Amino acid sequence: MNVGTAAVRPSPRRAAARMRTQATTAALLLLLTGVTIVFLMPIVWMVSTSLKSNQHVFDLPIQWFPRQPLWSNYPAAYTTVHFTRYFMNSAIVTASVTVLNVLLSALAGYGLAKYRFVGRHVLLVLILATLMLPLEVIMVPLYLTVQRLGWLNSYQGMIVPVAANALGVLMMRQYFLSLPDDLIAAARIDGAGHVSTFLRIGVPLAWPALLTVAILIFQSTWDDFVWPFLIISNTAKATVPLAVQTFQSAETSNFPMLMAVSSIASVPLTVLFFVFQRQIIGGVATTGMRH
Amino acid sequence: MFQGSRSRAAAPRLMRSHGSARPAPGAAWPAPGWITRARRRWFGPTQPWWGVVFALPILALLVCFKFWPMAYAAWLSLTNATLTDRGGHFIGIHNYARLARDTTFIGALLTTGRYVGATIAVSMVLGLALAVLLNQKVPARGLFRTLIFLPAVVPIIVVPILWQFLFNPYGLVNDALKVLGLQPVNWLLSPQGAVGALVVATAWRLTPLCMVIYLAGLQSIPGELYEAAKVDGAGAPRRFRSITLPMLKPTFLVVVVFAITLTVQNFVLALVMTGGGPDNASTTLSLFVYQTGFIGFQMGYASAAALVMLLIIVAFTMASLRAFRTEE
Repeated sequence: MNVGTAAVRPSPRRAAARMRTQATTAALLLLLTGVTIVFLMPIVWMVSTSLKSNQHVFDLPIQWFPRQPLWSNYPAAYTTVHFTRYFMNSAIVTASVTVLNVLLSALAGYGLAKYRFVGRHVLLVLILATLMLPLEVIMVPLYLTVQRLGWLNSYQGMIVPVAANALGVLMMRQYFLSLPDDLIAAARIDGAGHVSTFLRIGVPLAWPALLTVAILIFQSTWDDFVWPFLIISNTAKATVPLAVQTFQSAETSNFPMLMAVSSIASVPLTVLFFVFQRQIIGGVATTGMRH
Repeated sequence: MFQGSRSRAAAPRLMRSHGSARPAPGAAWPAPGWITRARRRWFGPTQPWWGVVFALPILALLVCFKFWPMAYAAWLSLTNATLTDRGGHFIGIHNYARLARDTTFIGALLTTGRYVGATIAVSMVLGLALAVLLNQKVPARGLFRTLIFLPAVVPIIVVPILWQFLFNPYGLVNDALKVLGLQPVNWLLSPQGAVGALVVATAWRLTPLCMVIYLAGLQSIPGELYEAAKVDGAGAPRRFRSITLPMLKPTFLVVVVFAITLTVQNFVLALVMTGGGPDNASTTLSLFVYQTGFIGFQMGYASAAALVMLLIIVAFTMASLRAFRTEE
């Protein structure tokens, strides 16, 4: 009916309406462009400053694109900070945490979704309650516990306590709940054991969820500063965020170098974001709870 | 094991309530029906106890590194433990009484209130506005969404370093103020400015996250509602007030809880940007816990403050749950 009346309308009014829509779109585009520029300005400024020399940092008028970009700041920053070593450390820690967490989350999610045992709701609530418990609340006793284990300044100290994250359990359980029980039952009737059913039916079917969990855990572990900061004092074991902070406290006012170091440190997560944008944005939107 | 302990305790009571239960021949205690059923189900062909086996590994880790530290924190908060004297002595609620008199702690509490309140207000309003804009039919809105999300991708340690530079007396923020004809502010060295700088830096990173959550909420609102309202002659502001806002209620809840938890717990920004200064003016609760525990080495006292922080997070989570529930 709507379409019918629209077709009968005299054409000048329709043209006016189209003009109005175009004007609205243009206004929206203008507004969005403005907001985007404001949000990106700090990042652009970071990159821009990283290509300047220290005496021209605060020059006015502002040079967004330095006339003679000092690309040499980047190799200098890379070697001063010994980035290779810290990237290696971060990679070791993050990969271990991700593998461990995805494995444990998949197991627990499968167990909680596919078996109807007594007290499974209590167990689930217990596990999910830990999501409300930020590291900052338990950092003192956790530090003392890790110290007693003799794990200060060690990889296992950075890996094992962080791998206990219930977020993956929540997401994996959600996914396994959507898998039909008949698949599992069929495999069991065919004589497959519990573990082999999980490995041969559960895991292959759940890879989209496994990937999402892996990306989210990878991102938050790579980005984590607080826990390594508390337990690592030996620079040989430091991760990238720790190395950046150490450099910052030593070179507070060498702004171009500081910004070059910051830019280099931002590269891995930015690449990860552009490759797995759908999973990362979807993960934030659905869980609304990253750490 | 589970089965054994359960049947011994429960059998006599059930005998009384089901007087007609017939003793099985040769059995000392007749097994009541529900136990037989439970046993059959527990050890039957589906073997549900395997579910516990699957959950056991992560449960073990959670017990060691979440539940145990939590209990340990509760105990520590009642002692005068330090880094060297880790056991300490039981001193009852002395730590909590001391917190109530500690002007630094009270100051941290107030700073946290202002910091969290302002950050959340900015991020939630701005995030909603951006989400509504991006939910319109505009060209290249995927590109805009990606670009606006980028601040949330910047590593958390880079955020304070970058903003410390931007809030430099001669930095970009003051340049912008000058362009607008306003007085430059000594951001990081004045009590008001330091908290303001923290709010801006946090909101810069938090707003895109809020925006993405809002967008998911907006996209779940059925389009027919807007069509129907349009037919009824409702203008855009009216549609926003009568459809968008009420339908977004569950999303608001998620955003509030998410934003509160994230801002209350975070102390990296305060630590690196202002170090809590000037004169403790920007010391937030979590920074107070860190400084007391890891710089002052007062593990017991720090744990008491940490528990207060947990209490605040839980209280706000519960309050917002209730606020958004009861109105439905």
